[in-house]
Amino acid sequence: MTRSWTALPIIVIAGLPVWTAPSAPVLLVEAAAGLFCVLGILRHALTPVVAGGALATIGYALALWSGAAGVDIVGAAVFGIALLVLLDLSDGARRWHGADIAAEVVRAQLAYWLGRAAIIVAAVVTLSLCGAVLAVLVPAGGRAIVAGLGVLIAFAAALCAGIVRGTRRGA
Amino acid sequence: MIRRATPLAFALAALLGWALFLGVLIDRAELFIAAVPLAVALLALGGDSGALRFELRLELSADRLAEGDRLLVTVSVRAIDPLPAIELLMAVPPLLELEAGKNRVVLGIAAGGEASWSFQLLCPARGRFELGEFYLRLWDRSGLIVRETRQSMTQPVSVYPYLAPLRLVLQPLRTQFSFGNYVATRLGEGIEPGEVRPFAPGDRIRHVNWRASLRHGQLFVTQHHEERNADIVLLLDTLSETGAPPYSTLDLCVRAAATLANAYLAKKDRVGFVEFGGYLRWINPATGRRQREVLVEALLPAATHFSYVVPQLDRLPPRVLPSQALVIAVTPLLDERFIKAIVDLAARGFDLIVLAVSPIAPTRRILSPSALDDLACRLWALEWRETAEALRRRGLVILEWRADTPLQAALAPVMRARPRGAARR
Repeated sequence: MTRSWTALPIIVIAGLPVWTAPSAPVLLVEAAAGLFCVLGILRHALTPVVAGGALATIGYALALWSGAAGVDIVGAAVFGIALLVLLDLSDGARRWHGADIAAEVVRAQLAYWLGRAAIIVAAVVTLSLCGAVLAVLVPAGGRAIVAGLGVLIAFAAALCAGIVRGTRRGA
Repeated sequence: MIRRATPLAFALAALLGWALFLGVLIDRAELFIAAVPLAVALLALGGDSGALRFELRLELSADRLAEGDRLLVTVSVRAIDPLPAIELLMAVPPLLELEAGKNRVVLGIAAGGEASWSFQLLCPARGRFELGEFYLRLWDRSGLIVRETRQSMTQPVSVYPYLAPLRLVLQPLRTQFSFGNYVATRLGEGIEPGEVRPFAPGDRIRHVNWRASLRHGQLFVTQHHEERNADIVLLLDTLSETGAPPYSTLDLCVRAAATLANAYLAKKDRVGFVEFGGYLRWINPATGRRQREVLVEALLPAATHFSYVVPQLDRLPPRVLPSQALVIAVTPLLDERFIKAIVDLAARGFDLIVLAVSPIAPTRRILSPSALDDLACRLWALEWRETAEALRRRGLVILEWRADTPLQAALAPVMRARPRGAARR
């Protein structure tokens, strides 16, 4: 849980947008994002890290908007994973700061994160394939309907998860 | 046990919403893809393993220690349900110092498994402490849900005042009637030779002083002084205190009182104790090991208590303050009420010795180094010595003791003034 490991995701989330569209506004936003993240890591505070992450996302959106390249799935997945790793590492460093951490806890945590990264990669691949297939099969007019259905399904799933959790807690 | 979502869960949700919002705003699929890892991580919020059961056990290496001793604390956790990450914090009382190890640990234990950890505490200050207040956090692997609870399995630990080695003690002027180590004024059975007088019927042959008998041509016998014990009353000033534990004036006074009590009890004297502070508290003079325990237990909670009532020593029962007793007042000479009390005591004819604990060094220790504070302390030291001199001029025996010198050295001037056998007077 050393803080030095958080440098890697910070470099990724700040560097990827600059690499996508190297422009002064993007560089400025990403520099500010990096500063916020470093400040949060040094002060063992999650809020500046979240602010840095939000700024990095703005910078990435700015880079995508200003650039005219095609869809970069790998870059987007790497950006998302780096953001998640940054949050995990900074929160881990914050909540267990000053504690004696058993080696087996660190090992198990790393294994969990690696497993989750594998699931995320699989989810990204599946969703990308589904999107590509749907783009071919569904005509342009029907895509909005498919997207709306997706939102409804997601909303229903969230509602269902909430109800199930509420019932379990009540029991 | 309180279950709640962690700040990480809120952070993930916020960034997820932000990425989706920006994705919709600029109409680019990359931001939706970037949101997938955050969404997958948030799915862990749905997993609820219910209440986690475990057992805590606390072991202390000792429950009675002296100042400066070390205490080894061992905590064992037995998991009934699997504990991915249990964070334990054992509260350490402010006067105890963590010397080795940490009192906060994160452990991962499988179901049915057991883990333990130890740390060492230094006990620099006297007092009664309760150890075993635990604050626990049970984290899930995702770090999104935490359960918090508190468990109390307190065990008492007593840290007694440090007893400095004391080879010689102050000789009392008056003795009592029980057998002891002081040469009494009274003649009788003893080993210390006294006066020589003519033989009288009933005198033992072994007491005949042959040299004097041969010189005078008639029988003379050597009389002997009895060896008797004495009553010692330790008068502790708890009206005022300066400095911070474990080096406050009161701590030094308690250490001195405990050392003196221990030394006098070892000489078979009867030792009593009077706490002269916000209220009067006393222990009747007695001797033996039991009295030693009673006295250190009485000294342990000594503290300053504010009170408008001025304590009066003349209200003490005579058995607490016997007229033949040697009264040793242990004080920093800061409170006028105590100074007045000891002056009254000396005027009433008590054999009184004042052990004045210098308050300058304990106060200087808690001040930051500055020229102004140095000057103030030097002026205060002069004023304090003037107070002691004023008492000396009134006939009181004042022994000044500074924390950086051994107590034996502070007692030495009066030992020279009161030679061995002073009790004969």
